[in-house]
Amino acid sequence: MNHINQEQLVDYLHRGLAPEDDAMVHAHLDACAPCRLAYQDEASLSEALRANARNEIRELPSGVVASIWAAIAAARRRESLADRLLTWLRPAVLVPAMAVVVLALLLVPRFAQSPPSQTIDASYYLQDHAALGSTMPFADSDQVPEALENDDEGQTSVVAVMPAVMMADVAP
Amino acid sequence: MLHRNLRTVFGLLCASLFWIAVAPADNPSLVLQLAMDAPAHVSFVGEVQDLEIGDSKSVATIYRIEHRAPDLTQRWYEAPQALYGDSVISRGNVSYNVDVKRGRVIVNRNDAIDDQVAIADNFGLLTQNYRVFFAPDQTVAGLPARVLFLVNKHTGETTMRVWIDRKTSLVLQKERYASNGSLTSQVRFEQIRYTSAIPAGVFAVPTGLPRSDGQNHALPSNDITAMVKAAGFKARGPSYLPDGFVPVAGDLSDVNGIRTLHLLYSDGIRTASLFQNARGIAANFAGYAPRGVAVGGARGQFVQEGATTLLTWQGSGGLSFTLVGDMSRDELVKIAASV
Repeated sequence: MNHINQEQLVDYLHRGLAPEDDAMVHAHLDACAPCRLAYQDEASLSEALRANARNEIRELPSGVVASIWAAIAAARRRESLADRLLTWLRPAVLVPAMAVVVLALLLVPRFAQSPPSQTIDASYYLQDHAALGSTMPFADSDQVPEALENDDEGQTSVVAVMPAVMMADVAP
Repeated sequence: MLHRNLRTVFGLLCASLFWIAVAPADNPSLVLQLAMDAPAHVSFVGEVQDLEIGDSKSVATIYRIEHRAPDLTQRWYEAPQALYGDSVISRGNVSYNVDVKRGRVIVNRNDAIDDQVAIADNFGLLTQNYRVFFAPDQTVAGLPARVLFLVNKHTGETTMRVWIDRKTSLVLQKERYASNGSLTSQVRFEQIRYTSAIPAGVFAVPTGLPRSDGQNHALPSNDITAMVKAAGFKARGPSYLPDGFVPVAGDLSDVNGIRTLHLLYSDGIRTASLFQNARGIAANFAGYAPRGVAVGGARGQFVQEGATTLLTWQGSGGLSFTLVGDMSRDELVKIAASV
């Protein structure tokens, strides 16, 4: 086999050869000392170039970074209200937002119309019956007040009652 | 002739004087009326046993009582255990429920207690519907007592018996009966001692406990028509009531924001209260064990607390009804079905 030329060595180093050519060069380098020496020279040169390139990379000066961010902020301030509105009117934002609004319009009236969870304790009726009946002769004034009686159940019998005299001039 | 006329006049005069002197003692209605007024004149201390008997539940309480005429009373509960130590102090139309377990005092006001006109009217209703007669004397708490039967003129059933102290006219024992004759409640003094030396401090409301307002009942109205008009909704009443029952009072209240009309019907002893609201708000039975019952074509619920029955059902037009009465469930259902 002829020796490997310079072009083939460079391509081999950068994995640019076809698989069969790559296999052939690899086998040749195992068997041919002069070509292997040439390969090592070429590899050393490539590594030296990479090392030099790494050394050339420098951090961007902090003043430059600050000036870039300042320029971005100034650009945002200059953005008009219309531009922002157009941003919100993008279909990706507008469609889900409209869906939420429609859902709310459908559901809110239902909750608004549902009756408040008001009840009147059964104990209120028993107490009011006893109170109004207290004008009857020999009424049972001896009955235990509900507020004391319900100790075991932990139930409170205190209810807010506005008497009739306070309601007389209140429109229904 | 003149002598004979003088003798007649003298005889009539003597008869009149005799009637005036003896009549109150022998007139059962007058004895009953004196008994109603007795607590305003008699002070006493004692122990009372109260028994309320229902179809499925009975309640027995024992309390010590101190009463200073005319209107200071303290009831201090000795039994049942759940009530032990609690007390009710009544000062005129205001009562203080002292709940020692929860450490609080609930203040209730009931102006109806002072409504002497209504009390007199209702006594008239009682004598109109009930025949009152004496039974042989008995002894209660060691004191001789006159026994009076109150018999319903319409049904012939004995509704109440009262034992009245011969000396002070205080009611020493009272029993009420259902229409089938069964006992529904009994209140009796186990001990009693009359004294005018009860210090006012006995009726002092304990300090140091937080007070909260309970129910406040204004003076009820006996103008039922005006009350119904003021309700603000088309109120209904029963077309059936037991014999002798008439509407006697009503009140209109705002209960937890719900305008509630309350009409009281009575025959002088037994009572039935019809509550209604136009919001379709039913009773909250938390703490009770209600059972189902048919009310006409509607489904209702009822509970019994001793001798008192509470029945609720929904009517048409969004009206919600509650009927409370010291009568049997069947009697209440019959009234309810006619509303």
